Amino acid sequence: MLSRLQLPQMWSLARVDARRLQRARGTLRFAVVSPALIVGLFALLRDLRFGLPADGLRIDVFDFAVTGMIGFWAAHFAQDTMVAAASAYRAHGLLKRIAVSPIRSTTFVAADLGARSLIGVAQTLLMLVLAAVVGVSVKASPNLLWLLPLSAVATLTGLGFGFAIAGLARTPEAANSLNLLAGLLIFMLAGIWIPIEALPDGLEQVARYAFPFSSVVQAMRDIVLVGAGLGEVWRQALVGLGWMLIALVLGTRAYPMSAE
Amino acid sequence: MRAWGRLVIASGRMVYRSRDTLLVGLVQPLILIGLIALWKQLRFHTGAGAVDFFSFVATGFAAYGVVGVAQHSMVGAAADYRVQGVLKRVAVTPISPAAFVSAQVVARVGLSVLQVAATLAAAAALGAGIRPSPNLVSVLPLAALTALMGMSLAFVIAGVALDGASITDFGRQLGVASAWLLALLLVASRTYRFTEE
Repeated sequence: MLSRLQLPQMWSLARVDARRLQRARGTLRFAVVSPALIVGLFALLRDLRFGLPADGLRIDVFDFAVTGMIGFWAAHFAQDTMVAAASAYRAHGLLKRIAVSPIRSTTFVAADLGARSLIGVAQTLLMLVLAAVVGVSVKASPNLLWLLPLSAVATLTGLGFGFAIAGLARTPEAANSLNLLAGLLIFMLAGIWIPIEALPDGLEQVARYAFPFSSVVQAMRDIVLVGAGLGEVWRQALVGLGWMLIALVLGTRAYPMSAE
Repeated sequence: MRAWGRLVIASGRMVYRSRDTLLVGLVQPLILIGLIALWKQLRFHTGAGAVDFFSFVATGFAAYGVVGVAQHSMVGAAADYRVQGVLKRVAVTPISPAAFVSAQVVARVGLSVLQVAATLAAAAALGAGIRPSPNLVSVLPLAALTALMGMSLAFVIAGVALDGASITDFGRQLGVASAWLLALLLVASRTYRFTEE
């Protein structure tokens, strides 16, 4: 854990990391342009509905998918970039070199996580604004502020899994392939683009809680579309928080902070 | 020609011996088709009618799987040839680099065709609305064509990334690819029923 002595170092490092990320124009451009592109593409599907003949249920594809992206895109982006960065740290022996400096590897990583979480929250806000502009049924209410902590939770979950994947895979290429597969499964099974209400009965309940991001995305969707407050979504938020802890523990266990 | 034929066979053996390639090429699409089948009761509704979600996504995935895997593996291989100087070394043997690369491409097209057949068979077995008819055989040359398009794009990507070539250097090839794309879109719009009603 971080001691009091390490905290000033961590803040300085976080500032440096934020500056570094801010200067990486390619990353920033991708962080800003990709949400705009995705929201714009889904806006083309405004007449499309998901339908479940058995229940007579109709779900607006545009509202559903864009709110899924509001909940998940920042986390997905964070996970992708973290996998790339963490496997590069390993491949280039960066943490080994940090180990012989006065900064601890954990301080270095914690600062990186802090800077990336802030970018995640900013991306979620940007996506929300874009969604409102292109006509998603956003329920304007003070409850929208709950998106900020929930977005940080989702982003930190993605970052934790990013570290875990970079730790489990031996090479950056293998990490990238594993991350692609994980991302595809989450997009499908966590209710990001396809409603889990349409899964077979038993599996629907499993998908709600047993897949990372599923609960936190549902909570964020309810806040955006229904104007739900923490009182209504506390259970999903708690499950999301649990997944964040699991991801961070997995990340710290799987990723060799100092051994290599 | 005979030497090229041997090269194709050798490249084919190389592709099929690689467990990773087979796993990504055949097992992964089948797992994904199995997953998509979980949404069998879901429909897409538009003003014009309803479309079965599983049939729509599974057939789309059969085509995408081909392009994705062909392109992904070819970008890796093409970049590797350049970085490791494989083509330079091949150039001093009786085999021309073009013959070497085309043999690799043909072997991968074979894998792509197999992949489409396996994906469509799995989708049909799981209940997608695929009508068994002799016309299904015509999907195979289309799969080969799509895979070739994906691999051409892979060489463009590897060329731009490694040689710093400009996209305008590939004007003629991109023109041909666009013409094929247009032709396929026209055929698609004539042959596909977008709604059940």
